[in-house]
Amino acid sequence: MRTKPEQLIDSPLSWLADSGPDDDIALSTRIRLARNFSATPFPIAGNQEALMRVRNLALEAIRESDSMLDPMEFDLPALNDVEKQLLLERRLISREMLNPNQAACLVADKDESLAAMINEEDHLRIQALRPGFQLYPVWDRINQFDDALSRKIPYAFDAHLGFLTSCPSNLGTGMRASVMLHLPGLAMSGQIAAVKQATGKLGLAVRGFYGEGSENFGNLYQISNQSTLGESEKQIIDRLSSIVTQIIIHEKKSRSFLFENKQSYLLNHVGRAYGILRHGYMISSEEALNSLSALRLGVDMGMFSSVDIHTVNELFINVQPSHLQLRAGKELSSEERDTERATLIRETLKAKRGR
Amino acid sequence: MLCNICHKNTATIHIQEIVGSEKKTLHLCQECATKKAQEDSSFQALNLAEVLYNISNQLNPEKKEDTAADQEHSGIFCSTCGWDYASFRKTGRLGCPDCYQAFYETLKSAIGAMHRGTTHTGKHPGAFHGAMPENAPADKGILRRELEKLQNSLNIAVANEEFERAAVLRDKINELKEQLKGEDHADKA
Repeated sequence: MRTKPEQLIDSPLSWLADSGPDDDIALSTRIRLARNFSATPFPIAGNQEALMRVRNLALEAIRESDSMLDPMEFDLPALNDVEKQLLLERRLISREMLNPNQAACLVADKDESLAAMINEEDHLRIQALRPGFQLYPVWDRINQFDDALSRKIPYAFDAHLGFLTSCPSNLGTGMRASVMLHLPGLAMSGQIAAVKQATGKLGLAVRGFYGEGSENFGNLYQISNQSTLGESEKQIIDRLSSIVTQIIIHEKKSRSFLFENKQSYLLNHVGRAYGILRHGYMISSEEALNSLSALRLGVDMGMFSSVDIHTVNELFINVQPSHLQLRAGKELSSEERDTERATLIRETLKAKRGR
Repeated sequence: MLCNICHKNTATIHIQEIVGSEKKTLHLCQECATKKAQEDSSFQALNLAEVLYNISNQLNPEKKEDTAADQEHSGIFCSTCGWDYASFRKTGRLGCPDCYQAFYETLKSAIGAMHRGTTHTGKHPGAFHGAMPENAPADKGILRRELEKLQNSLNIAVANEEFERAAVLRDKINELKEQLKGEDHADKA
Protein backbone atom coordinates (compact mmCIF):
# COMPACT_ATOMS: atom_id res chain seq x y z
CA MET A 1 0.00 0.00 0.00
CA ARG A 2 1.33 3.48 -0.89
CA THR A 3 1.60 5.78 2.08
CA LYS A 4 2.62 9.42 2.33
CA PRO A 5 5.43 9.92 4.84
CA GLU A 6 3.58 12.70 6.65
CA GLN A 7 0.93 10.18 7.66
CA LEU A 8 3.57 8.70 9.94
CA ILE A 9 4.03 11.70 12.21
CA ASP A 10 0.93 11.02 14.27
CA SER A 11 1.32 7.26 14.47
CA PRO A 12 3.24 6.18 17.55
CA LEU A 13 6.41 4.15 17.08
CA SER A 14 5.66 0.79 18.69
CA TRP A 15 9.31 0.29 19.59
CA LEU A 16 9.40 3.48 21.66
CA ALA A 17 5.83 3.95 22.83
CA ASP A 18 5.25 0.44 24.21
CA SER A 19 6.72 -1.04 27.35
CA GLY A 20 9.63 -3.44 27.23
CA PRO A 21 12.09 -5.16 29.57
CA ASP A 22 14.53 -2.76 31.30
CA ASP A 23 12.99 0.19 29.49
CA ASP A 24 13.99 2.58 32.26
CA ILE A 25 17.47 2.42 30.73
CA ALA A 26 17.15 0.58 27.41
CA LEU A 27 14.95 2.43 24.94
CA SER A 28 14.94 -0.12 22.16
CA THR A 29 16.60 -3.15 20.59
CA ARG A 30 17.28 -3.43 16.89
CA ILE A 31 18.75 -6.14 14.65
CA ARG A 32 19.43 -5.73 10.96
CA LEU A 33 20.61 -8.24 8.39
CA ALA A 34 22.38 -7.46 5.10
CA ARG A 35 21.44 -9.74 2.20
CA ASN A 36 22.11 -9.79 -1.53
CA PHE A 37 20.86 -11.58 -4.62
CA SER A 38 23.31 -14.12 -6.03
CA ALA A 39 24.89 -13.49 -9.45
CA THR A 40 23.68 -9.87 -9.45
CA PRO A 41 25.82 -6.72 -9.19
CA PHE A 42 25.54 -4.88 -5.86
CA PRO A 43 23.71 -1.51 -6.03
CA ILE A 44 27.00 0.42 -6.27
CA ALA A 45 27.86 -1.38 -9.53
CA GLY A 46 24.43 -2.35 -10.87
CA ASN A 47 22.70 -0.78 -13.84
CA GLN A 48 19.17 0.48 -13.42
CA GLU A 49 17.62 -2.51 -15.17
CA ALA A 50 19.29 -5.01 -12.83
CA LEU A 51 18.38 -2.95 -9.76
CA MET A 52 14.74 -2.59 -10.86
CA ARG A 53 14.59 -6.37 -11.24
CA VAL A 54 15.98 -6.74 -7.69
CA ARG A 55 13.42 -4.20 -6.46
CA ASN A 56 10.48 -6.02 -8.04
CA LEU A 57 11.58 -9.48 -6.93
CA ALA A 58 12.27 -8.25 -3.40
CA LEU A 59 8.89 -6.51 -3.14
CA GLU A 60 7.15 -9.66 -4.34
CA ALA A 61 9.06 -11.84 -1.87
CA ILE A 62 8.23 -9.48 1.01
CA ARG A 63 4.52 -9.39 0.10
CA GLU A 64 4.33 -13.17 -0.28
CA SER A 65 6.18 -13.76 2.98
CA ASP A 66 3.16 -12.38 4.87
CA SER A 67 5.54 -11.22 7.57
CA MET A 68 4.03 -7.77 7.86
CA LEU A 69 0.51 -7.14 9.10
CA ASP A 70 -0.03 -3.92 7.22
CA PRO A 71 2.92 -3.08 4.97
CA MET A 72 3.63 0.43 3.70
CA GLU A 73 5.79 0.98 0.62
CA PHE A 74 7.83 4.05 -0.26
CA ASP A 75 9.76 4.62 -3.48
CA LEU A 76 12.65 6.76 -2.31
CA PRO A 77 13.24 8.72 -5.57
CA ALA A 78 9.63 9.95 -5.38
CA LEU A 79 10.13 11.59 -1.98
CA ASN A 80 11.38 15.10 -1.27
CA ASP A 81 14.24 15.85 1.13
CA VAL A 82 12.07 16.54 4.17
CA GLU A 83 10.16 13.28 3.66
CA LYS A 84 13.34 11.25 3.32
CA GLN A 85 14.75 12.96 6.39
CA LEU A 86 11.57 12.00 8.29
CA LEU A 87 12.13 8.32 7.47
CA LEU A 88 15.72 8.69 8.66
CA GLU A 89 14.58 10.32 11.90
CA ARG A 90 12.26 7.35 12.47
CA ARG A 91 15.15 4.86 11.95
CA LEU A 92 13.45 3.42 8.85
CA ILE A 93 16.21 4.31 6.42
CA SER A 94 19.94 4.94 6.64
CA ARG A 95 21.81 8.14 5.83
CA GLU A 96 22.90 6.54 2.56
CA MET A 97 19.26 6.41 1.42
CA LEU A 98 19.02 10.22 1.50
CA ASN A 99 20.69 10.03 -1.91
CA PRO A 100 18.85 7.02 -3.27
CA ASN A 101 19.40 5.26 -6.58
CA GLN A 102 16.46 5.01 -8.98
CA ALA A 103 15.37 1.60 -7.67
CA ALA A 104 15.65 2.35 -3.94
CA CYS A 105 12.60 1.41 -1.96
CA LEU A 106 11.43 1.00 1.64
CA VAL A 107 8.83 -1.41 2.97
CA ALA A 108 7.78 -1.09 6.60
CA ASP A 109 5.10 -2.62 8.74
CA LYS A 110 2.49 -0.13 9.93
CA ASP A 111 3.78 -0.20 13.53
CA GLU A 112 7.35 0.23 12.15
CA SER A 113 8.66 -2.79 14.07
CA LEU A 114 9.79 -4.57 10.89
CA ALA A 115 11.23 -2.97 7.77
CA ALA A 116 13.18 -3.70 4.60
CA MET A 117 15.35 -1.29 2.64
CA ILE A 118 15.79 -2.35 -0.97
CA ASN A 119 18.83 -1.23 -2.98
CA GLU A 120 20.66 0.58 -0.24
CA GLU A 121 24.34 -0.40 0.10
CA ASP A 122 23.17 -4.00 -0.23
CA HIS A 123 20.19 -5.32 -2.19
CA LEU A 124 18.35 -5.94 1.05
CA ARG A 125 18.71 -4.59 4.55
CA ILE A 126 16.03 -5.97 6.83
CA GLN A 127 15.51 -4.83 10.40
CA ALA A 128 13.35 -5.63 13.41
CA LEU A 129 12.85 -3.32 16.39
CA ARG A 130 11.29 -3.73 19.79
CA PRO A 131 11.02 -1.56 22.88
CA GLY A 132 13.42 -2.11 25.79
CA PHE A 133 16.21 -4.65 25.99
CA GLN A 134 15.14 -7.87 24.28
CA LEU A 135 17.71 -9.16 21.82
CA TYR A 136 16.42 -12.73 21.62
CA PRO A 137 12.80 -11.95 20.66
CA VAL A 138 14.06 -9.43 18.09
CA TRP A 139 16.39 -12.08 16.67
CA ASP A 140 13.50 -14.58 16.41
CA ARG A 141 11.45 -12.04 14.49
CA ILE A 142 14.14 -11.05 11.99
CA ASN A 143 15.32 -14.65 11.61
CA GLN A 144 11.81 -15.76 10.63
CA PHE A 145 11.48 -12.90 8.17
CA ASP A 146 14.89 -13.80 6.69
CA ASP A 147 13.93 -17.48 6.37
CA ALA A 148 10.70 -16.57 4.61
CA LEU A 149 12.56 -14.31 2.16
CA SER A 150 15.29 -16.87 1.49
CA ARG A 151 12.66 -19.27 0.14
CA LYS A 152 11.86 -16.73 -2.59
CA ILE A 153 15.21 -14.99 -3.11
CA PRO A 154 18.44 -16.78 -4.15
CA TYR A 155 20.83 -15.20 -1.63
CA ALA A 156 24.50 -14.59 -2.38
CA PHE A 157 26.14 -16.97 0.07
CA ASP A 158 29.53 -18.60 0.37
CA ALA A 159 30.11 -21.60 2.64
CA HIS A 160 33.31 -20.03 3.94
CA LEU A 161 32.57 -16.30 3.94
CA GLY A 162 28.86 -16.52 4.74
CA PHE A 163 26.44 -13.96 3.33
CA LEU A 164 28.26 -11.87 0.73
CA THR A 165 27.88 -8.12 1.16
CA SER A 166 28.98 -5.07 -0.78
CA CYS A 167 31.28 -4.00 2.05
CA PRO A 168 33.55 -6.70 3.53
CA SER A 169 32.82 -5.31 7.01
CA ASN A 170 29.37 -6.96 6.91
CA LEU A 171 30.44 -10.41 5.67
CA GLY A 172 29.41 -13.60 7.41
CA THR A 173 26.21 -13.13 9.34
CA GLY A 174 25.53 -9.70 7.81
CA MET A 175 24.11 -8.91 11.22
CA ARG A 176 24.27 -5.71 13.23
CA ALA A 177 22.51 -5.98 16.58
CA SER A 178 22.18 -2.87 18.72
CA VAL A 179 20.63 -1.71 21.95
CA MET A 180 19.82 1.95 22.57
CA LEU A 181 20.71 2.97 26.11
CA HIS A 182 19.96 6.10 28.11
CA LEU A 183 22.97 6.65 30.37
CA PRO A 184 22.62 9.96 32.24
CA GLY A 185 23.93 8.43 35.48
CA LEU A 186 27.19 7.28 33.93
CA ALA A 187 27.47 10.56 32.05
CA MET A 188 26.99 12.70 35.17
CA SER A 189 29.49 10.69 37.15
CA GLY A 190 32.04 11.06 34.34
CA GLN A 191 32.24 7.38 33.45
CA ILE A 192 31.10 7.46 29.82
CA ALA A 193 34.62 7.62 28.40
CA ALA A 194 35.57 4.55 30.43
CA VAL A 195 32.47 2.67 29.27
CA LYS A 196 33.24 3.54 25.66
CA GLN A 197 36.80 2.37 26.02
CA ALA A 198 35.92 -0.92 27.70
CA THR A 199 33.13 -1.63 25.23
CA GLY A 200 35.44 -0.87 22.32
CA LYS A 201 38.03 -3.29 23.62
CA LEU A 202 35.40 -6.01 23.69
CA GLY A 203 34.73 -5.49 20.00
CA LEU A 204 31.54 -3.47 20.30
CA ALA A 205 30.84 -0.01 18.93
CA VAL A 206 29.30 2.88 20.84
CA ARG A 207 27.49 5.51 18.78
CA GLY A 208 25.14 8.38 19.48
CA PHE A 209 21.42 7.94 18.88
CA TYR A 210 21.44 10.52 16.13
CA GLY A 211 24.33 8.92 14.28
CA GLU A 212 28.02 9.61 13.94
CA GLY A 213 29.12 12.69 15.88
CA SER A 214 26.01 12.95 18.07
CA GLU A 215 27.49 11.15 21.05
CA ASN A 216 26.78 13.93 23.48
CA PHE A 217 23.13 14.49 22.59
CA GLY A 218 20.62 13.37 25.16
CA ASN A 219 22.96 10.82 26.77
CA LEU A 220 21.63 8.26 24.31
CA TYR A 221 24.06 5.58 23.19
CA GLN A 222 23.75 2.72 20.75
CA ILE A 223 25.84 -0.31 21.62
CA SER A 224 26.35 -2.70 18.70
CA ASN A 225 28.58 -5.50 17.44
CA GLN A 226 31.42 -4.62 15.04
CA SER A 227 32.51 -8.03 13.83
CA THR A 228 30.08 -10.06 11.74
CA LEU A 229 32.27 -12.98 10.63
CA GLY A 230 33.74 -15.83 12.67
CA GLU A 231 30.99 -16.09 15.25
CA SER A 232 27.43 -17.33 14.97
CA GLU A 233 24.49 -14.97 15.39
CA LYS A 234 23.86 -16.46 18.81
CA GLN A 235 27.46 -15.93 19.96
CA ILE A 236 27.37 -12.31 18.83
CA ILE A 237 24.05 -11.71 20.56
CA ASP A 238 25.18 -13.49 23.75
CA ARG A 239 28.25 -11.27 23.99
CA LEU A 240 26.34 -8.08 23.28
CA SER A 241 23.68 -9.13 25.74
CA SER A 242 26.08 -9.75 28.61
CA ILE A 243 27.89 -6.45 28.05
CA VAL A 244 24.66 -4.47 27.84
CA THR A 245 23.51 -6.17 31.06
CA GLN A 246 26.71 -4.98 32.73
CA ILE A 247 26.27 -1.42 31.48
CA ILE A 248 22.68 -1.38 32.76
CA ILE A 249 23.85 -2.52 36.20
CA HIS A 250 26.49 0.23 36.27
CA GLU A 251 24.00 2.87 35.15
CA LYS A 252 21.64 1.82 37.97
CA LYS A 253 24.48 2.00 40.49
CA SER A 254 25.49 5.46 39.28
CA ARG A 255 21.92 6.69 39.54
CA SER A 256 21.50 5.50 43.09
CA PHE A 257 24.91 6.83 44.05
CA LEU A 258 23.94 10.27 42.73
CA PHE A 259 20.58 10.07 44.46
CA GLU A 260 22.10 9.17 47.80
CA ASN A 261 25.19 11.39 47.74
CA LYS A 262 24.47 14.30 45.45
CA GLN A 263 20.77 14.73 45.81
CA SER A 264 20.55 18.51 45.46
CA TYR A 265 22.84 18.42 42.44
CA LEU A 266 20.61 15.81 40.83
CA LEU A 267 17.33 17.53 41.72
CA ASN A 268 18.72 20.84 40.46
CA HIS A 269 19.74 19.24 37.17
CA VAL A 270 16.33 17.66 36.59
CA GLY A 271 14.37 20.64 37.87
CA ARG A 272 16.14 23.16 35.66
CA ALA A 273 15.64 20.96 32.63
CA TYR A 274 11.92 20.61 33.38
CA GLY A 275 11.65 24.38 33.75
CA ILE A 276 13.16 24.92 30.32
CA LEU A 277 10.99 22.27 28.67
CA ARG A 278 7.79 23.37 30.37
CA HIS A 279 8.20 27.12 30.00
CA GLY A 280 10.67 27.78 27.17
CA TYR A 281 9.46 29.41 23.95
CA MET A 282 12.53 28.63 21.84
CA ILE A 283 14.72 25.60 22.21
CA SER A 284 17.50 24.25 20.01
CA SER A 285 17.68 20.59 19.11
CA GLU A 286 20.69 19.94 21.31
CA GLU A 287 19.25 21.73 24.33
CA ALA A 288 15.95 19.88 23.88
CA LEU A 289 17.62 16.49 23.77
CA ASN A 290 19.77 17.18 26.80
CA SER A 291 16.83 18.55 28.79
CA LEU A 292 14.65 15.60 27.75
CA SER A 293 17.41 13.32 28.97
CA ALA A 294 17.30 14.98 32.39
CA LEU A 295 13.49 14.79 32.42
CA ARG A 296 13.62 11.09 31.56
CA LEU A 297 15.96 10.52 34.48
CA GLY A 298 13.60 12.46 36.76
CA VAL A 299 10.61 10.42 35.56
CA ASP A 300 12.47 7.21 36.25
CA MET A 301 13.29 8.38 39.79
CA GLY A 302 9.64 9.09 40.43
CA MET A 303 9.93 12.88 40.50
CA PHE A 304 7.04 13.34 38.04
CA SER A 305 3.82 11.45 38.51
CA SER A 306 2.13 12.99 35.48
CA VAL A 307 4.75 12.31 32.78
CA ASP A 308 5.60 8.77 31.74
CA ILE A 309 8.81 7.55 30.20
CA HIS A 310 7.24 6.71 26.83
CA THR A 311 6.06 10.29 26.37
CA VAL A 312 9.68 11.39 26.73
CA ASN A 313 10.83 8.62 24.35
CA GLU A 314 8.46 9.85 21.69
CA LEU A 315 9.58 13.43 22.16
CA PHE A 316 13.15 12.33 21.39
CA ILE A 317 11.84 11.45 17.91
CA ASN A 318 9.24 14.18 17.45
CA VAL A 319 11.53 17.15 18.18
CA GLN A 320 13.71 16.37 15.16
CA PRO A 321 13.66 18.87 12.26
CA SER A 322 11.63 16.96 9.66
CA HIS A 323 9.02 15.88 12.17
CA LEU A 324 8.53 19.54 13.11
CA GLN A 325 8.35 20.68 9.50
CA LEU A 326 5.87 18.04 8.35
CA ARG A 327 3.75 18.73 11.42
CA ALA A 328 3.77 22.43 10.57
CA GLY A 329 3.04 21.57 6.93
CA LYS A 330 5.82 23.81 5.60
CA GLU A 331 9.55 24.33 5.57
CA LEU A 332 10.82 26.12 8.65
CA SER A 333 13.96 28.13 9.22
CA SER A 334 16.22 27.07 12.06
CA GLU A 335 14.74 29.79 14.26
CA GLU A 336 11.16 28.83 13.44
CA ARG A 337 11.98 25.23 14.26
CA ASP A 338 13.27 26.24 17.68
CA THR A 339 9.92 27.93 18.31
CA GLU A 340 7.88 24.97 17.00
CA ARG A 341 9.98 22.57 19.02
CA ALA A 342 9.44 24.51 22.25
CA THR A 343 5.69 24.67 21.53
CA LEU A 344 5.41 20.94 20.85
CA ILE A 345 7.24 20.10 24.07
CA ARG A 346 5.23 22.60 26.15
CA GLU A 347 1.91 21.35 24.77
CA THR A 348 2.84 17.70 25.23
CA LEU A 349 3.90 18.18 28.85
CA LYS A 350 0.90 20.43 29.59
CA ALA A 351 -1.52 17.81 28.23
CA LYS A 352 0.06 15.25 30.54
CA ARG A 353 -0.34 17.55 33.53
CA GLY A 354 -3.99 18.13 32.82
CA ARG A 355 -4.90 14.47 33.17
CA MET B 1 26.01 34.80 27.41
CA LEU B 2 25.65 31.48 29.23
CA CYS B 3 27.22 28.23 28.06
CA ASN B 4 24.96 26.20 25.74
CA ILE B 5 25.71 22.96 27.53
CA CYS B 6 25.68 23.67 31.28
CA HIS B 7 23.67 26.93 31.18
CA LYS B 8 25.49 28.08 34.28
CA ASN B 9 28.92 29.43 33.39
CA THR B 10 29.69 32.30 31.06
CA ALA B 11 30.52 31.18 27.52
CA THR B 12 34.06 32.12 26.55
CA ILE B 13 34.58 29.78 23.61
CA HIS B 14 32.62 29.97 20.38
CA ILE B 15 32.73 27.06 17.96
CA GLN B 16 31.26 26.91 14.49
CA GLU B 17 29.83 23.53 13.63
CA ILE B 18 28.40 22.35 10.36
CA VAL B 19 25.53 19.94 10.90
CA GLY B 20 24.06 18.74 7.61
CA SER B 21 23.64 21.86 5.52
CA GLU B 22 23.40 24.17 8.49
CA LYS B 23 26.05 26.24 10.16
CA LYS B 24 25.64 26.47 13.91
CA THR B 25 27.58 28.37 16.50
CA LEU B 26 28.10 26.80 19.88
CA HIS B 27 28.83 29.02 22.86
CA LEU B 28 30.65 27.09 25.55
CA CYS B 29 32.39 27.65 28.82
CA GLN B 30 35.97 26.43 29.24
CA GLU B 31 34.93 23.38 31.21
CA CYS B 32 32.28 22.10 28.79
CA ALA B 33 34.43 22.85 25.75
CA THR B 34 37.25 20.69 27.08
CA LYS B 35 34.84 17.89 27.85
CA LYS B 36 33.29 18.06 24.41
CA ALA B 37 36.65 18.03 22.66
CA GLN B 38 37.73 14.98 24.61
CA GLU B 39 34.56 13.07 23.94
CA ASP B 40 34.37 13.97 20.25
CA SER B 41 37.91 13.29 19.23
CA SER B 42 37.64 9.54 19.77
CA PHE B 43 34.73 9.35 17.38
CA GLN B 44 35.84 10.98 14.22
CA ALA B 45 34.32 9.49 11.11
CA LEU B 46 36.76 7.29 9.27
CA ASN B 47 36.94 6.48 5.64
CA LEU B 48 36.44 2.74 5.66
CA ALA B 49 38.33 2.22 2.44
CA GLU B 50 41.40 3.85 3.91
CA VAL B 51 41.13 1.87 7.11
CA LEU B 52 40.78 -1.38 5.22
CA TYR B 53 43.72 -0.57 3.11
CA ASN B 54 45.94 0.53 5.96
CA ILE B 55 45.16 -2.60 7.92
CA SER B 56 46.14 -4.81 5.05
CA ASN B 57 49.35 -2.81 4.63
CA GLN B 58 50.20 -3.14 8.29
CA LEU B 59 49.75 -6.87 8.18
CA ASN B 60 51.88 -7.27 5.09
CA PRO B 61 54.99 -5.25 5.84
CA GLU B 62 56.48 -6.15 2.47
CA LYS B 63 53.63 -4.19 0.88
CA LYS B 64 54.17 -1.12 2.98
CA GLU B 65 54.61 1.20 0.04
CA ASP B 66 51.27 2.34 -1.30
CA THR B 67 52.59 2.41 -4.80
CA ALA B 68 54.01 -1.11 -4.55
CA ALA B 69 50.67 -2.49 -3.35
CA ASP B 70 48.81 -0.50 -5.93
CA GLN B 71 51.02 -1.86 -8.64
CA GLU B 72 50.70 -5.39 -7.40
CA HIS B 73 46.90 -5.26 -7.25
CA SER B 74 46.09 -2.70 -9.88
CA GLY B 75 45.55 -5.28 -12.60
CA ILE B 76 42.95 -7.24 -10.64
CA PHE B 77 39.36 -7.03 -11.76
CA CYS B 78 36.23 -9.16 -11.48
CA SER B 79 35.42 -10.95 -14.71
CA THR B 80 31.71 -11.14 -13.81
CA CYS B 81 30.94 -7.48 -13.22
CA GLY B 82 34.10 -5.67 -14.33
CA TRP B 83 34.74 -4.05 -10.91
CA ASP B 84 38.45 -3.21 -10.71
CA TYR B 85 41.00 -2.58 -8.01
CA ALA B 86 40.79 1.21 -8.40
CA SER B 87 37.03 1.12 -7.73
CA PHE B 88 37.55 -1.02 -4.67
CA ARG B 89 40.30 1.25 -3.42
CA LYS B 90 38.10 4.31 -3.88
CA THR B 91 34.91 2.98 -2.28
CA GLY B 92 36.00 0.17 0.02
CA ARG B 93 33.23 -1.89 -1.53
CA LEU B 94 32.91 -4.69 -4.02
CA GLY B 95 30.83 -4.79 -7.18
CA CYS B 96 29.13 -8.19 -7.03
CA PRO B 97 29.19 -11.47 -5.07
CA ASP B 98 31.78 -12.96 -7.45
CA CYS B 99 34.21 -10.12 -6.66
CA TYR B 100 35.09 -11.97 -3.47
CA GLN B 101 36.74 -14.60 -5.63
CA ALA B 102 38.63 -12.10 -7.75
CA PHE B 103 39.75 -9.95 -4.81
CA TYR B 104 40.18 -12.71 -2.22
CA GLU B 105 43.98 -12.45 -2.03
CA THR B 106 43.80 -8.66 -1.69
CA LEU B 107 41.12 -8.80 0.97
CA LYS B 108 42.18 -11.79 3.03
CA SER B 109 44.24 -10.04 5.68
CA ALA B 110 41.85 -7.09 5.95
CA ILE B 111 38.92 -9.44 6.54
CA GLY B 112 40.90 -11.21 9.24
CA ALA B 113 41.71 -7.92 10.95
CA MET B 114 38.14 -6.62 10.74
CA HIS B 115 36.37 -9.64 12.15
CA ARG B 116 36.79 -12.02 15.03
CA GLY B 117 37.29 -14.94 12.68
CA THR B 118 37.62 -15.74 9.01
CA THR B 119 35.10 -18.56 8.66
CA HIS B 120 31.35 -18.16 8.77
CA THR B 121 29.78 -20.20 11.56
CA GLY B 122 26.32 -18.64 11.56
CA LYS B 123 23.12 -19.54 9.79
CA HIS B 124 22.85 -20.71 6.20
CA PRO B 125 20.05 -19.56 3.91
CA GLY B 126 16.89 -21.66 4.09
CA ALA B 127 15.88 -23.92 1.24
CA PHE B 128 15.37 -21.79 -1.84
CA HIS B 129 12.36 -22.88 -3.86
CA GLY B 130 12.50 -20.61 -6.90
CA ALA B 131 14.47 -21.00 -10.11
CA MET B 132 18.22 -20.44 -9.76
CA PRO B 133 19.45 -17.65 -11.96
CA GLU B 134 21.51 -18.90 -14.89
CA ASN B 135 25.29 -19.20 -14.53
CA ALA B 136 25.17 -19.07 -10.72
CA PRO B 137 28.06 -21.33 -9.69
CA ALA B 138 27.42 -24.26 -7.39
CA ASP B 139 28.66 -23.06 -4.04
CA LYS B 140 31.67 -24.81 -2.63
CA GLY B 141 33.02 -22.03 -0.51
CA ILE B 142 35.77 -19.70 -1.42
CA LEU B 143 38.48 -21.83 0.21
CA ARG B 144 37.66 -24.92 -1.83
CA ARG B 145 37.63 -22.90 -5.04
CA GLU B 146 40.97 -21.40 -4.04
CA LEU B 147 42.29 -24.90 -3.42
CA GLU B 148 41.23 -26.07 -6.90
CA LYS B 149 42.91 -23.05 -8.45
CA LEU B 150 46.16 -23.69 -6.57
CA GLN B 151 46.13 -27.36 -7.48
CA ASN B 152 45.79 -26.45 -11.15
CA SER B 153 48.70 -24.02 -10.87
CA LEU B 154 50.75 -26.70 -9.13
CA ASN B 155 50.13 -29.17 -11.95
CA ILE B 156 51.19 -26.56 -14.48
CA ALA B 157 54.28 -25.64 -12.48
CA VAL B 158 55.34 -29.29 -12.19
CA ALA B 159 54.72 -29.86 -15.89
CA ASN B 160 56.96 -26.86 -16.66
CA GLU B 161 59.57 -28.05 -14.17
CA GLU B 162 59.28 -24.79 -12.17
CA PHE B 163 60.08 -26.52 -8.92
CA GLU B 164 60.66 -23.45 -6.75
CA ARG B 165 57.24 -22.14 -7.65
CA ALA B 166 55.76 -25.60 -7.14
CA ALA B 167 57.18 -25.78 -3.61
CA VAL B 168 55.55 -22.45 -2.71
CA LEU B 169 52.24 -23.64 -4.14
CA ARG B 170 52.50 -26.95 -2.30
CA ASP B 171 52.95 -25.12 1.03
CA LYS B 172 49.96 -22.92 0.30
CA ILE B 173 47.86 -25.97 -0.57
CA ASN B 174 48.82 -27.74 2.64
CA GLU B 175 47.99 -24.62 4.63
CA LEU B 176 44.57 -24.42 2.99
CA LYS B 177 43.90 -28.10 3.55
CA GLU B 178 44.65 -27.66 7.25
CA GLN B 179 42.19 -24.79 7.37
CA LEU B 180 39.53 -26.80 5.59
CA LYS B 181 40.07 -29.73 7.93
CA GLY B 182 39.49 -27.46 10.89
CA GLU B 183 36.32 -26.24 9.24
CA ASP B 184 34.95 -29.74 8.59
CA HIS B 185 35.67 -30.54 12.18
CA ALA B 186 33.70 -27.52 13.31
CA ASP B 187 30.81 -28.56 11.07
CA LYS B 188 30.58 -31.97 12.67
CA ALA B 189 30.98 -30.69 16.22
